[in-house]
Amino acid sequence: MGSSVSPDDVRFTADLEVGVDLALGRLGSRALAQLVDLALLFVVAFGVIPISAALVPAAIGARSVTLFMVLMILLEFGVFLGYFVLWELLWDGQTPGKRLLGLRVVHSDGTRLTLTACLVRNLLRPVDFLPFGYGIGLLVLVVTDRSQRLGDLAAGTVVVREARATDANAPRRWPERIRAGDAAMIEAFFAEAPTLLPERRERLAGEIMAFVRRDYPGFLADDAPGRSAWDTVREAFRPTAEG
Amino acid sequence: MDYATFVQQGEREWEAADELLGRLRRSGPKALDHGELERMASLHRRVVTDLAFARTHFPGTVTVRRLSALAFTGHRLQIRVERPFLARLAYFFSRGYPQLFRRSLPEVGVALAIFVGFVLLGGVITLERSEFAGLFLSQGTIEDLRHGDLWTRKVATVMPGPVLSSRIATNNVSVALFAWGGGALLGLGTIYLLALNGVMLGSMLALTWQYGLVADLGAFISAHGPLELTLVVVASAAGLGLARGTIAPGDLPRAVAFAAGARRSLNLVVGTVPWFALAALTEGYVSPAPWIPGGVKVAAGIALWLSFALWVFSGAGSEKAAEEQRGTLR
Repeated sequence: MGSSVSPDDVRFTADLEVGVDLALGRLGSRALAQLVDLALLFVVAFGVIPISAALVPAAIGARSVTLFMVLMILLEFGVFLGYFVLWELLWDGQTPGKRLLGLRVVHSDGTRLTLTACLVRNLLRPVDFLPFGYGIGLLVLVVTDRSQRLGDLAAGTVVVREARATDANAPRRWPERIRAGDAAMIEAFFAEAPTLLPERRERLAGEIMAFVRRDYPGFLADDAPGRSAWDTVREAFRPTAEG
Repeated sequence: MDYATFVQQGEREWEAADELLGRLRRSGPKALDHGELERMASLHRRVVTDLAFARTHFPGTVTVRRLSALAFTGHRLQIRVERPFLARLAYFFSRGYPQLFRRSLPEVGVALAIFVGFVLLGGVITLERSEFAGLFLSQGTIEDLRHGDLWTRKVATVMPGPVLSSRIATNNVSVALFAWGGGALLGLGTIYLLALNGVMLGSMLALTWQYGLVADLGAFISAHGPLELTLVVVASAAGLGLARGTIAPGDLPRAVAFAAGARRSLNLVVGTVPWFALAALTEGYVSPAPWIPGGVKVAAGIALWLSFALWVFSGAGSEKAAEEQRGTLR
């Protein structure tokens, strides 16, 4: 499973002994997800808590001030570790940052994150954070072949990238006996098409049109004057209606 | 089979699997009725077999990625039957933890030996060169000691009991968690923590002894000290348990031994958390109170320590008896 050959980095053995390949969350997306989470934490730790610590005691009686201070101390303590533990339990392996980046924590056999594993990976977070800014975590993450930090290794978890909606687009019309490689190439073209410049898209559509005419004669409509290659190709491989 | 035919034949059922999985993910298994759950199971098998076929015949296509995602979600959302959380928690504190503690006695012994060694080291160095204590105590505090004033007298006057207790509790639990997590660094973090705390304790005992205040310090720490130090040693034992997988994995691959040791050793720390809270309450209320006589503090300290010891050795007899019985039956 060389990462340069296939986009699939980790294989789980699912039911009936069938392997399921999934892409791992790599350094970039995980770092971004972490930044989002830390930003949220920052708002809570340096915004919400101090502001309420300043405002609330004035509003309540002196007797409850002690209780309030105790709550604040416990909150300050629990917020860094508790944030990750609670979100990952509540959202089944996702934090707000991970959800935004399409990442999810699962056991390395593909099953759902359990309480113990969640505690192990998150209570080791401070060690991964050493000496600062996830130094140790980053080092371990780049040298392990499944992109795990220390906490992941200890908990037996991996962070995977979930398929996006665009990966599962509607089934389309196909020529009889199309080769898998050709189908994959045409699917990749349609997935990329919305991001291409019109002239480039038109040139690629022209190349596809020529090759489909050669290999699968009779599938494409005949040339009509003034009709673009993109329209011809799009029409031929149009999504099939439900059914 | 032709790609177009394959997609056309499977599409309706993949769509149905997607819909059911979506509901299962959003609302949990209770949102589906019995028939739907059975249909879910059969759709999942269909998805998985289709995936195997597609991977062989149509590699690289969108369909393979789509089926992979469906199979992954189905695999992940399989319904686990487990006992409710509270029942597991009750079992952990009544039976699981004491058993785990007794199985971890070798690590506890090693951690204790390291700790005692560093206490002695700190003590001996300070007796030889008293300026060594300046590494841990401020110049003012040492000056006070010279005049026969122990710093612990000031602690109580600054903060109200609940605030002091919660400060101590959160601080000590952080220390315990680091004593455990530091084990992941080949045990170095754990040993560093044991060394630091041991040398500090030894040094302070030696210094107060030199100024004739060791009885005062003893009275201050006697209520919470025995339990708290025991808990730190237990947390460090957990750290050593975590380190063992990386240093001496035995017959297992290092990663496997590390992961197995991590779960076990984390449980060893988690069980100490309520006791840390108890020790912190004692340290916040009982220890600094000048009106509680020293004898009562010592008695409280012994009682706390004994209740922890009784807890971790509870059920040891019946466990041994059960083992012997199994032995005779065999």
